[in-house]
Amino acid sequence: MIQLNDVSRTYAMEQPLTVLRDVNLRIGAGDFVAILGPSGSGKSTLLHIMGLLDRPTTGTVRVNGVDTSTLSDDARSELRGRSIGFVFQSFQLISHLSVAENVELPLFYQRVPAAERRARSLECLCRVQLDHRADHLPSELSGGECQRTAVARALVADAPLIFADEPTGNLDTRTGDEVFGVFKSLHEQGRAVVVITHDVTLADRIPRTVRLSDGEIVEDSRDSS
Amino acid sequence: MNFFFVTELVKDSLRNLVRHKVRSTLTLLGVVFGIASVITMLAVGEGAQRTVLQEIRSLGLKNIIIDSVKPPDVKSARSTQARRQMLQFGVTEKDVRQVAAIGAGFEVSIAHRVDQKVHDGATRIDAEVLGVAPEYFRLFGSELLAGAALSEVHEMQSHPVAVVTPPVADAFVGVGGAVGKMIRIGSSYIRVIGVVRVSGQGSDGSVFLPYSTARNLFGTSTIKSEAGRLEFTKTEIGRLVVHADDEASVPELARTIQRTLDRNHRVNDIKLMVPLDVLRSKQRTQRVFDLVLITIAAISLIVGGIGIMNIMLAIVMERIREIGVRRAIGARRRDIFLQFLAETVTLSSMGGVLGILVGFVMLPIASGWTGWEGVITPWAVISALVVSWTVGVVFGTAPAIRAARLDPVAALRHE
Repeated sequence: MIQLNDVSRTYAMEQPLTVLRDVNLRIGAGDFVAILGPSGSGKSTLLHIMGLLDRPTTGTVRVNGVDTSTLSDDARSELRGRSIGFVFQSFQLISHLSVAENVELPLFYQRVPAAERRARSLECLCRVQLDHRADHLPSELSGGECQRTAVARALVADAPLIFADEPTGNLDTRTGDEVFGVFKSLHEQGRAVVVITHDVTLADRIPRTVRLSDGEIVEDSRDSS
Repeated sequence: MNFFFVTELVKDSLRNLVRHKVRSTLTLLGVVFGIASVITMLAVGEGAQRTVLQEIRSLGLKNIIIDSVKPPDVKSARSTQARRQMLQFGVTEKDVRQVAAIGAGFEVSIAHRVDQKVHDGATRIDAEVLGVAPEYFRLFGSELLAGAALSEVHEMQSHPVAVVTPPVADAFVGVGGAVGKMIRIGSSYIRVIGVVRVSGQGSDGSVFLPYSTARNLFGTSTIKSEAGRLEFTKTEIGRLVVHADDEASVPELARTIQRTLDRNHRVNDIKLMVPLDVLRSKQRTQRVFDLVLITIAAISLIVGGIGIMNIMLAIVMERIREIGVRRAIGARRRDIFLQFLAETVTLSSMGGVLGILVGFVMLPIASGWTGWEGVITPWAVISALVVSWTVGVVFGTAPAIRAARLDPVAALRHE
């Protein structure tokens, strides 16, 4: 599904800063992967490159066999919209849109008609048990509800791959467990889920762990199993 | 580009603008007052133009009007200086004969200006008194509103009758009420036989007598008492009107008449007016006036547009993370560009609509202040809308480009 070959990312600065070095990683369909590492280890950069938000300095990123380095910015956006759903630590909901409108936003950029968007967003909200909050504003939701809304947004375009960046980082333990349960069920439904975290306890509950340190993969539990 | 996509962008923009009511309102103000100024200035300009052009046209574009005027550089004979000397000036019968002999393709009419006051009983009526030949009304274009017109019979028999314009008739008791009444001109009593609207008279009050009646009753000489001194003047013909058969021949005919009259008049005691020339001159002046108005309006709109651009740039900065999120979930650069451009154009278009409404409210105030009746034409309204839309596009492009060029990773990381 996603294949990274010898991916490096160096930021051009007075002293060039390399945050990823020769990363080789393959995420297959239905994988449930935790990318674990301390702050500054390159987790978020790896997520941005896998999520087609950033380009590697060297190496290739293939999504469903397509080499994304040759794609235009617009083509990458379209591929991202169709294939990848994002869930961010701080929810990143758009404050002036209702819950349902936030959820249907990816479909808006795929030019899906309004009625179909609404139906699909309600369906996704139902799956995260938030259909009763469809017309509320994000400011009227709890942290857990906001994150479940963000999950519904990641699901609405039927993306086979979900990237979650510290999805429970801003939640209390009970709410975090609830949100984790949602990811687990997504995995069980056949979606590939990649969770970026520095929380070892959370990573331990995920079948496959990729450990990053100083921009290099130091451990991939799939290789060791 | 999908029409429904644009419609939804506009709906989203409206929702966002409504959510920030105060900021949106303050941002709108520049465009609102810019457009209101455009509407008001165009309306007042249009009204002024129509009024002036109507007045000029009413003088008859085929007419050449030669008025007798007292020469400014010659003192009139004063009783204490040269009692027996009388100042004679203006158009003479010789002039009329020579002008009539210029050729064919025109006809000539004369009017005699009577320098006397008009009274209805003891009440003074503010009016100009002219003795005119019957064809005068045809040359200027007139409409009989009540009673009868002056006829050849009145002219031949010097009847003491008059027709008056509506402002004079109104000084009696309405239009119909004037007919049959006696008015006093100087010391002579004249019967009003009709009410006539004459083009070129505007809102002035005028009393028209048969030419022969005016000459017989009041003569061609005037004695005026001024600061205890008597002033003697004589004018044979008050006004000579030359009516050309077609408009194209007017300029050349006017030059010929001017040359003919210049030979008879060493001093500046006649004034030749060609309404067609005045019209063209006014139209040239109006174009300059329009240019000035457009420049002022453009400056006010540029100021309004810069205001919008500043706010939109601030909004882009404020919404950097939102832009990052939108890019992450599939928005392309041009989607972001269109979103912010739609927001600016929606904002400026709302400013345009409100500006037009404010313009309608401001117009009576501006008209009252300038004394010109304002006319808001559909063209002005359409122009204002197009201009407000253009302001949005022009001043919204830079913020929209800035938003579209944002790097999604940097935008997501923005604090």
